[in-house]
Amino acid sequence: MIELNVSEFYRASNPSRPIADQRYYINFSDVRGGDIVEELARTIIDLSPDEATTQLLTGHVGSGKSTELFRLRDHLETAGFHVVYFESDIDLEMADVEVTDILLVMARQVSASLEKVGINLKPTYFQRLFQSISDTLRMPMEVTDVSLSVGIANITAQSKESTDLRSQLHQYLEPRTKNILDSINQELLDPGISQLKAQGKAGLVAIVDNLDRIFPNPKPSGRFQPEYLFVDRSEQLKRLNCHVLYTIPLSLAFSDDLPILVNRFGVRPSVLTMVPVHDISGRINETSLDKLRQMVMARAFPNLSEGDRRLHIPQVFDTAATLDRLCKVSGGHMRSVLRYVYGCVRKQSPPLSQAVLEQVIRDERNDMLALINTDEWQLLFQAVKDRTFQGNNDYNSLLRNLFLYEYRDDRGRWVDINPVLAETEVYRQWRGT
Amino acid sequence: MAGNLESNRGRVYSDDDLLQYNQASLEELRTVVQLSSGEFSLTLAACNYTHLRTLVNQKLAREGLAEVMRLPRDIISLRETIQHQLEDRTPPALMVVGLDYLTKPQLMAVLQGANLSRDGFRQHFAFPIVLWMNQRGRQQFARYAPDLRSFSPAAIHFKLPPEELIYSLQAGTNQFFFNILERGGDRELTTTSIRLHASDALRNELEFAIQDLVANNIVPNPSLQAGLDFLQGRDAHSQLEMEVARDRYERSLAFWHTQVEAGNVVPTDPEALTPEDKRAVLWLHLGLWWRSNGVVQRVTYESSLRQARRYFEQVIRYFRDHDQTIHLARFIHVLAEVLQKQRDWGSLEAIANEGVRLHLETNDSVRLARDHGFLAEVALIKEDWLTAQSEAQQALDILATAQESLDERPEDFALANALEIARSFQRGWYRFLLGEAQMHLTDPQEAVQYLEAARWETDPEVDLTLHLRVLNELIAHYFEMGCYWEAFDVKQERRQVEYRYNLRAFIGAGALQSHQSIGAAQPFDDTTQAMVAAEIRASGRLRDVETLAQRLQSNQYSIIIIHGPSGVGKSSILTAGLLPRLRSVYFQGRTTQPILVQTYGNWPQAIAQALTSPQSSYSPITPSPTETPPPSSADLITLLRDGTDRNYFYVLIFDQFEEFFFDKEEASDRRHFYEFLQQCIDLPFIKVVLSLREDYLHHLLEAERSINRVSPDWDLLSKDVRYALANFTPEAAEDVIRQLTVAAQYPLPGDLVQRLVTDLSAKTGDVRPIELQVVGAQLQREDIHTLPQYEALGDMPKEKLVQDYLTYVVRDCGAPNERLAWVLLYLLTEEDREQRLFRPLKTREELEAELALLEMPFKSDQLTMVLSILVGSGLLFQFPEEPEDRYQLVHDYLVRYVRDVQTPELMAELEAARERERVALKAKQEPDEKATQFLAEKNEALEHRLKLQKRATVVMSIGLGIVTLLGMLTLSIARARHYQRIRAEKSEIQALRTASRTLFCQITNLRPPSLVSEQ
Repeated sequence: MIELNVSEFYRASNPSRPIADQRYYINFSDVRGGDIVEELARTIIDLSPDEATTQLLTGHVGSGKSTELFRLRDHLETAGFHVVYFESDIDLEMADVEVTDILLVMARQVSASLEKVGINLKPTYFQRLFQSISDTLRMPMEVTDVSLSVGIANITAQSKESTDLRSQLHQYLEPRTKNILDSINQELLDPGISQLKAQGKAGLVAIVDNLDRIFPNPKPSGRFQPEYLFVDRSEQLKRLNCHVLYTIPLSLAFSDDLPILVNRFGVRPSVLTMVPVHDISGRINETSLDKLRQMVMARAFPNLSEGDRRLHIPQVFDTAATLDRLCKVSGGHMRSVLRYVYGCVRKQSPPLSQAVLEQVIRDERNDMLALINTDEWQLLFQAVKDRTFQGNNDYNSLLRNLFLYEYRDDRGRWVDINPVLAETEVYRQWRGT
Repeated sequence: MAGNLESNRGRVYSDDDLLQYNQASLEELRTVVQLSSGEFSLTLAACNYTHLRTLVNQKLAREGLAEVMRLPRDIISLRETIQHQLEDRTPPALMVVGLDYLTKPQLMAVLQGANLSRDGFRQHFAFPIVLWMNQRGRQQFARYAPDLRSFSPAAIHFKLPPEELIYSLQAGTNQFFFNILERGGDRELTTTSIRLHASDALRNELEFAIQDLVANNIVPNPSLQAGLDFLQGRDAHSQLEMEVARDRYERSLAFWHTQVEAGNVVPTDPEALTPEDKRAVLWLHLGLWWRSNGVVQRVTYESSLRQARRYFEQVIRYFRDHDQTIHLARFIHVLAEVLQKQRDWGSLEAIANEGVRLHLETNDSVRLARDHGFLAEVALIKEDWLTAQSEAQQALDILATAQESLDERPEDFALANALEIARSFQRGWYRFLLGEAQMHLTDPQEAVQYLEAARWETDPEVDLTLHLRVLNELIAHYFEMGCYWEAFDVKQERRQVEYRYNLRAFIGAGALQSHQSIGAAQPFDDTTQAMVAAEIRASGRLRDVETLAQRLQSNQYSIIIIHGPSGVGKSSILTAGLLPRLRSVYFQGRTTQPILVQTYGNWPQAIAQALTSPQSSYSPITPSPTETPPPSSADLITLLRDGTDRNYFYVLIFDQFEEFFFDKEEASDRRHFYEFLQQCIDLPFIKVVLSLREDYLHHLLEAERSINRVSPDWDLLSKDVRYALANFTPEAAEDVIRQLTVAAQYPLPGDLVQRLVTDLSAKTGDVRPIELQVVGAQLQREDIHTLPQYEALGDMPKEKLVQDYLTYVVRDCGAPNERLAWVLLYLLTEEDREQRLFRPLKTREELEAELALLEMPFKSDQLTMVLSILVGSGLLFQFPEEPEDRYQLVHDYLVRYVRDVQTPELMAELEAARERERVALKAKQEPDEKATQFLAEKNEALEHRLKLQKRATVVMSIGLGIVTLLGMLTLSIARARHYQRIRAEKSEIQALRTASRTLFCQITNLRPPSLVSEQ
């Protein structure tokens, strides 16, 4: 028998820590129902290989979007596409993003990527644009004879550094959005794609990761940045002549503006969901449950095999039922699993007892109860009753505050209340009626 | 920290007891600190009470387990502040307090930032961080930093024991009752366990205590419950949640009443009031409640006053019967005030006389003065001018004496406080009463000075009714005295006050003027904000102004081209809407300087002057006489760039841009402007608004061609650049009328609104905003509330209203001047060769010449006055220009109207004039070619007019008809200073809201002045 290292276990369960250690990694993709990657790829490969598409992906923070996007990239490359994947937050100032910022980053990433495969394009529009920016804004920069990617990199680097310069650039570029788009399409993407095809590629795909991290702050118009960019300015974001996948903030998938967004992009956002511990009719999903157990036990005994970890449960919990209770009450939200473990360990040294777990759950419940007002309860009841919700911005806070979880399995999609809240008196009474 | 909920005296729990009570939580916090030492972890600690939190932190700090950090109030970034304050130290753990004390928007910003940079905490801090927050703070935290919150398990709670809660609340509510009766000034009350500072922190703690009581399932005993009901009633009252407030007051009253009935007259606590006293406090509050109700629900005004009176009479009777002379003296005026409102002069006189006796006894000079004020008011009603004069004078004298004694004893805070109240609430009223009495006793010229004094001393913010009363009296007196300009000046002020306080639904329209005299030198404040709001709301174009302001703050737009038919309100939106609105625009944190150009004779000079004058200008620019050539566009660009380097944001507004094409017939002149325009729209922090009549829109193609030579991306006529202003659709017009009238508590029935809109849209199918405003303004002035009243106006009620409106405006010039006013207006209309109506710009000299031609007698100062009134009322524009100002009718809409409704009388006169001219011309045969030409032209014009007159079929009863708007408020500069004092727009309801809020802090014993008893 290996002894449990309590301190290591506590550290490994710290919910503020991302997974740095592969030993803790558990692959949940097959229990989340339907392969989102497969759907996204199919749209490009099978349905519309030549006609540009725009697709949207979202999910709870930490639900594994990037992991899924890597899978998508591999999938598309296998199918012969030239894929440009990039993390947009490296180049963008997430609190202050304009459409032209996204377009320029895109142009830079695409042209840099094309340069690597020997496709060098020098859109004349941009040559002139760099020159006039340099003149008008008195911005010192090398404008002659630089590649497009270097030219744009010059601008974005300076722009990210200085608020004032960024604002000046925005004022110069934004009224020219249409012209910039035209140039990217006609002078970069169109010729780029035909040269790629000449090289035997199937087409060009741009994957814009981390755009879901844009700050939900209001623009001067009072409109929040996510809605401003992806709803108000969607026409422009989807006008690029290549396949594009944007990651968007989860709030948009449930916002009042979703119908407009869907209408403008012509596609619903794909959503990465929680691990379904229960199915839609409330029955336990054993596979999901087992993976969650593994997730906890891997943190206690990272070096053991799956089977051996099971044997060591008594060192961590008083009974196996306590572990199961923890997994179920997490509702399949991985970070909650960790938060509860963390909360238990600070109250008691392992083995963790049922009583302490219940106390942690009770604290969590009371905390949440204090945050929910009557209106929000009504929204929650409605959502649970309908198993879905739509078209009400109030739901955003329910999602963001983890009062409500979204699930998806082979049989469909649904929402459910956070199990912690399901055990409140308010909820029981409502259920009873 | 000001005020926290814990008891100093007679406490149930000691500090050690409190820590012992929270032992488990304390232990958990210790574990957190120890287990995660050397690594970042986030923990939330929940505690609603400052004292308890401090105890816990002190304990951990003493044990060497943690360092306590207090966040400064000017915090921007949580992570950076922590990092900065630590100065490279690594504490074993960090207890962070202070989030609770941030303002809500500040906390929101800090939390959003922390949420975004959440990964940074882990990267920068290798130790546990504990964030202390009260319940409200945690709610904000959950809302604005949910992702950061998910780094922490549930919060660790620290609580007060129920007995402690009950004790504190009991003491606190008793103190509330006590303060209400005993509050005579702002003496600090330190003997209580709840220190009643007007601090949010304390109010929070009280609220938390009540919530915690509920959370602990503790049912307060009936006495505490009745105290809490009272507290909650007051809170609801201050929020104008009237039903809740009344319910709580009545519940509380019922309890004390039962206690009194049961014979429990002894206070439960030596310091507390008896149940009878508490019942009196509740009566007082129910009286106040009814008084508020009368204002909130206008229709119940009279009945609400009766209810208020009933309660106040009970209070007064109770004090009288129990010989509580001090209380009686302190509260007798609440009753007097209601009697005054009810116009029950007999009862008021009796109460005022009782007041005189009481306040002499209690030596309360400030209240004594008020008694005399009431007596003066009663005497005025009786037309006993001498008594009124002497009573009002006494009131003023008493205040003056009190002021002197205060000067001798400045430490008398109670008196200082009372005098401050009297200065803002009562002295203006005494002056008004004195002035009214004097008007009947002495020479009006002299007596009016008293009323002028009252005009300055009454503040609409404090007593709107009184202020309007003073203004109305002044207007009437001035008009009687033939001082038309003075009467008009006061009238303008009244109009402005009425808009501001939502008493006037329609603003008139045409070209609304921004408040030029308020001036741009003033920093933005609530006052300017309020004025904007009122004007825009009244113009029914709020959404347009907002959209324009948003476009200007959006990076996508660096030029907006506003276009629309004449009469749609383009100039109004710019001058009365956008200009003031821009004062609250801080594009990228910069100071916005709008530059308005309305004439194009010397536009570069105008812009240069606006840029170089020390104060930015919100009014049309007056180019100063200068010998130097106009600045080049390169000069202007240099000036603008200098400004943007100094953090200015410029909005260049070119109004009536069609004038540009008249003024600049040379292509080279126009190109000069286009080059300037191109640079403006390309440069950062300079934006352009260009407004022109729709039928001139195509002229911009030339501008675009010129601009595109340098900057090819611009497409001036694209949808993204243009902003179309249309007339109101009938549906929109109905909507606008409803909004305006409801806001002004002048609701119109549906059938009347529909009929109005039908009449207004009869000709074109849509509604011209200017006409809507004109007709609406007159409708309200004639107090028309129903469709039958409207129909009783005649066959063409709309036209009748327009005529009445016009007559009303011209009548402001005074009977002896009306004719001159009509003729002037007529002279400012013209028709071009293609018989298109237009509004000629004429200098005063030109107008004088034409009046002379018509042999219209006038004196120079008379002409000055009439022109001032016409400009002031909004009928005419006055363009300040060199060498001479020019005048123009505000609207094309008016031209047609003026020319359509001529009287035969005037036609005859004009014909006669024409004849005389012909004779004169022949007789003189002056060699001076210029004069000849001038006269010949004049002659031709007159002939032309006559032809038209004969064609005109509509002959209306009024003289020269001109329809217009009442336009806005060119305040005299002196009055403007007065207005600077007025802070925020408030309807009477809003004022009441403030008053109620004030009431809350007062009774918790502090300033500002009382509304409970002082009034």
